[in-house]
Amino acid sequence: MKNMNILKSEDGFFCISLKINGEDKKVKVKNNEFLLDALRRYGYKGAKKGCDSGDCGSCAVMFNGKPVLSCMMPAVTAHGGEIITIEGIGTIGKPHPIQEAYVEAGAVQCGFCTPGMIIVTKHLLEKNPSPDDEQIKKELDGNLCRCTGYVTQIKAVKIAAKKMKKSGNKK
Amino acid sequence: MKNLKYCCFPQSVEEAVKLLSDKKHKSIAVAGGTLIAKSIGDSIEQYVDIRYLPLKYIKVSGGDLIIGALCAFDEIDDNPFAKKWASGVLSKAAAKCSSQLIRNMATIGGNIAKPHSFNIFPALLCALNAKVKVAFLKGVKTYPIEDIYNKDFPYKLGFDSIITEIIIPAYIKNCAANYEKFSKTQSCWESYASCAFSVLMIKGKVEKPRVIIGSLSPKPIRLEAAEGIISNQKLSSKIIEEAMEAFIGNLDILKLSGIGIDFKKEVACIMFKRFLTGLAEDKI
Repeated sequence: MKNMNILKSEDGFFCISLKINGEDKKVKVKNNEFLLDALRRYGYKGAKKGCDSGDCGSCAVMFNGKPVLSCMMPAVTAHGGEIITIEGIGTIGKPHPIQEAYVEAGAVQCGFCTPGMIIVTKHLLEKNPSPDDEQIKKELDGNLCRCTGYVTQIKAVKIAAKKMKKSGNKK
Repeated sequence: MKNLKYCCFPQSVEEAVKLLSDKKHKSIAVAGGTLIAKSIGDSIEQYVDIRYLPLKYIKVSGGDLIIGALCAFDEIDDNPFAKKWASGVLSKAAAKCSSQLIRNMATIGGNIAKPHSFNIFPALLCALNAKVKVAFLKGVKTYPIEDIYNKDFPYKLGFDSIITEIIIPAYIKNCAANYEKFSKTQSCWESYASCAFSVLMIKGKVEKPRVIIGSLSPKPIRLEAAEGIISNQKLSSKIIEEAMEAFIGNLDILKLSGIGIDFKKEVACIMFKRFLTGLAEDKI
């Protein structure tokens, strides 16, 4: 067991290493904490606490290249992983084409579900640059929105796909 | 979770089972985590995070389809073998389980190791006559999937052993198969009734049928009386009627209970009839 990584809790905390939005971080997480709570405690408040039971998708973050529910993932198990939160996708001054598309399509109303939706959209467009309606619906079906009727999000994904193709921006 | 003392990231299956078998700490294996994350009790002292073990593959070996236990639902949904084998039932069923975000995380190994009446793969893999490879401290052994749900199964999956592989026999490739669930929405995890079926059609006759119900009980149930009626038969309307009667008879003997059980049984029956009718009309 020479190379195995074993983390030991001290005073109720684990010290984990991970990459958040491209930056290497050392983070202290509580024994009984989930990734969502740890991220929010460290200021990554874009991921939202909605249902806290894996049903609404508002806590979605990218973990090792895939969108996951951060409310379902024990924080300590994120050790060694790479996380992208909504804060790592564009800025207020320079939004990502997906963020622009959501605004253009009117897909942002109260905004609570939007970070999760954008994370999932980014993953979808990375694996499929021209998704059809069914593929978009399938990908977004874990992200609940209580303001819109989902029509605008589907429209936003299509606008984003066009924007990203045009700019060659797959980031 | 508050008494958690260690979190280990083993590099091999051997390391993982050694850690799980270590009696010094009460341990649990964690992979996708969607079924257990919120229910891990305070007695657990050690996580054995098996997510990075090399068990993420879907391949054909010696004619059999081999699925690594750490394959997530979305990987099964997208896999070309899963889309091809047994009318693509593995891919179709994986796509029906819960939301995309759950499908990105949940693994096939976890889905069968922690049986729940709403889980898709216990029933489906029983219908596909699958075997599972179980790794424990003293080695690895292969069991028919039904065996891991028997009371006398010697291991506590996830606590002293882990599932490493699922093996689907070669003949299943050409089987007609279906997985159906009746739920509020297509991707809803909870379902009122679910069934999985597979048959090999040879010269218009049914061979090697497997009829399994899920959802009505935490563990998959095989309905052998119904299988007996259709085995080696051409599916005439008379045979279908007889098979339906046997199916109902089978369900009655099981003395299943719960809210709306009669309705759920009726739904399961309709699923079976739809499968047989589809086969008879060559639509599956």
